[in-house]
Amino acid sequence: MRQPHAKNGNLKSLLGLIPATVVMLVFFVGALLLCIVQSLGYAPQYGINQFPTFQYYQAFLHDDGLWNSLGLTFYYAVVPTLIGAALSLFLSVAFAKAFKGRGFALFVYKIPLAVPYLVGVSIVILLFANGGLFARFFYAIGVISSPGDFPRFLQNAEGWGIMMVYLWKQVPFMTMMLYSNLLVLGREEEESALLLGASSLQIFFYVTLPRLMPALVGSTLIIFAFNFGSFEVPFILGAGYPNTLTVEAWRLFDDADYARRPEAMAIVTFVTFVSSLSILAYLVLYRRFERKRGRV
Amino acid sequence: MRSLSKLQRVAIFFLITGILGPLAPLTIASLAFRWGWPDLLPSIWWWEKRDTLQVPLAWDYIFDPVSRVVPAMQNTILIALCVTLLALIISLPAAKVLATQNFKGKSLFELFLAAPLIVPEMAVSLGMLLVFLQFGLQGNLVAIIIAHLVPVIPYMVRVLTVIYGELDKGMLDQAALLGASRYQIFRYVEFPLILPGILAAALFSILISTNIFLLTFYVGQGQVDTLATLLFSKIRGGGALDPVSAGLTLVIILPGLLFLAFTHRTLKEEVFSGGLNKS
Repeated sequence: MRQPHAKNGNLKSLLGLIPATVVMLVFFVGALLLCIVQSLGYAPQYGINQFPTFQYYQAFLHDDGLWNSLGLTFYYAVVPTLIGAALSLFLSVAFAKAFKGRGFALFVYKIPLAVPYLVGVSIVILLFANGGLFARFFYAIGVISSPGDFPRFLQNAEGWGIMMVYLWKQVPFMTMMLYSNLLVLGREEEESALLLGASSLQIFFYVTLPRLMPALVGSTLIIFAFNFGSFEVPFILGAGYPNTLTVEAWRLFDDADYARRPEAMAIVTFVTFVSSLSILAYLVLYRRFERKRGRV
Repeated sequence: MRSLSKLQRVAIFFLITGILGPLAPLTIASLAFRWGWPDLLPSIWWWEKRDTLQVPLAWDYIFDPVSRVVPAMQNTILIALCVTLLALIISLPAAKVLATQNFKGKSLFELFLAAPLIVPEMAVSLGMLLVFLQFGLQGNLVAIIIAHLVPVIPYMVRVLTVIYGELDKGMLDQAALLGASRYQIFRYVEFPLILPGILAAALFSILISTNIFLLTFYVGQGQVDTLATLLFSKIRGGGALDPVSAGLTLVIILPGLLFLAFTHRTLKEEVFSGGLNKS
């Protein structure tokens, strides 16, 4: 870290922060505040002015469907994050080694990062729909006799299609984060462990993994938060009902009756709240874990 | 360095196949005239119909003004470039301060800048629509460009902060000592030193901006087409993928792929570590 130039009071040296702060205050904090205000019943443009009221929160909190939706939202967010993290750890360690075609692999694995989630949705539909390519393949080799015999991957509550899209996009993302951190950390400690006779499994669990922990926590956190609030993938590939909270919010906001919009705002405020709370809990747990290991 | 284990070899093979493999059926689908159940390959390819069709049906439609794909492509690229330029102008000074200065509440400020990464896109999108409605600014390119700044700036500031942190301040002092003006110092010393960071930040920014769907959809109010909003309206039903959707999917892959190829050789993998390792 560089020497501090502005101990206290020298505000002039902090001027550079102003443009970013203004943009974030107006368009990010402002956006969230307006969400909250409208969810509390201030929406004069739709002729609603009951501020403050909790009726829009009560409307969906008393709905049995909420707990279904909340459970699904967590399920679609957590499961791919865990599977993706495990795959990415494995791949990033592999990428750090020398192998033939490494340059090619290092280019190709970034392609999903460069395309929208909707591309993943297209691909999953093409391959895994009941009339899709895999179903046709199994028909051709005589395993199934009609599209209906193929297991349903898309538009069901189990969300296989949703998770496949998430993994397709996110394994490369997490791999990139972990691999670039591996490069920054260097290999000296691994080499020493190797010289001291550690097996590759021991090196991974006792040397590499602990050093990658901050990067792993950081990337899983971002992925979890993204999945928790993601919309278009569960909208297209999820079941019509029940579906995630964000899809529910979309439906309410899209309703011909504008008076339902504050309820949509209440849902997204709730989603933001639950997501932030989960992330906070995750970070607290991680802190405690690091303290237990004596790292902090 | 040791070589790959068998399992690692298999994993990398699956990764590459899983990414490149689907491009083949997408291409085939976009060239099909009829490709129904249970055919593994199209039963009628477009070239069997070429006496009536000059080009494949899907591609003819994509390049036809009716489909609005070409203007959507232009919009997508224009938005990404403007967002990147604006975000650089906003993020560079902030990153410089964060990398060189210590001040009270710095970690709180960093948390504030990271917040858009963890707040659900839906909340930001709906809230931002309300902000723009207040200003009467919704439904045009300017609104979308401003909206995209919010998810882009946090990443940019992070990448640039890392680069500024590694910058040798002595070099700037030497240039000043030798009588260089502030502009000359920036142009000939500082800028070349942080260029790799700027490229990485620009890559992030362009990829994020071209990938955004929901924010564009709400803030654009259906008035502005981008590739992502077009693809959404094509596949939102979730039914079988028609040739046009397949072709459109391929078209959408193009800008990101080109930009990735363009920056692949100039960027070191290390620059990406700054994206997250401080959270």
